[in-house]
Amino acid sequence: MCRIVREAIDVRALEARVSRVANGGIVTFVGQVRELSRGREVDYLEYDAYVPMAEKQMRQIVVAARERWPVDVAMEHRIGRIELGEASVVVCVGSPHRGDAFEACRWCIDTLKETVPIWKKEVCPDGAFWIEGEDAVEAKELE
Amino acid sequence: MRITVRLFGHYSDYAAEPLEMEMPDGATIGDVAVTLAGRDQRLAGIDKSCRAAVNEEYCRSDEPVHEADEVAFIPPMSGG
Repeated sequence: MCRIVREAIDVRALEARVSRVANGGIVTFVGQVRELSRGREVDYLEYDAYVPMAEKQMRQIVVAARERWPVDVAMEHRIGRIELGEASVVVCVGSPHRGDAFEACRWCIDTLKETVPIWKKEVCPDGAFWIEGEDAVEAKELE
Repeated sequence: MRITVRLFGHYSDYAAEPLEMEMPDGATIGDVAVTLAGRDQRLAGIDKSCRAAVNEEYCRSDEPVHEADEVAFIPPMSGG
């Protein structure tokens, strides 16, 4: 239910994983690559991850979510080069009722951003920058 | 003891591949950081700017490392 992938994320396939007949609603969050980052124009993003730990942390998020809400959760984060408008992360939450699904989905994506070891490098017209929290650190060289 | 160290974010520009390191018994994550800084000054203070993980679990920087451990320094993240 939790994977780091290198290919495009199939949103419908991920939703199907949480679509049990017990669930009356599915909430899907899709994070996609934005053209502007803090006023800087972005050409594309390069994501990197500590893959085994990232998948482990994502599984821990699912376990914690299921302790708080009656939910099924599936999530995938894509790494490698991702173009503007393409999805970098998808979180799908199915639940008997929509309230729990919305709340759990919001909590899962917020927690993913805090605990899952993934980094993006913004490749811009004027160079490439690793984004580390609030900092943008110039990357050594363009790939 | 022999451990493996992995760097991420902009630190991966300095060492993209896992580093093999020899550490004395009783060494902590903080000691690993000091040894790294001795190899490459740009890595000085990496244990302050990063969270540490041992064998894919977060841990404190005063925790000891053991033979064959994989130590990772995790800069502030930017997934999502």
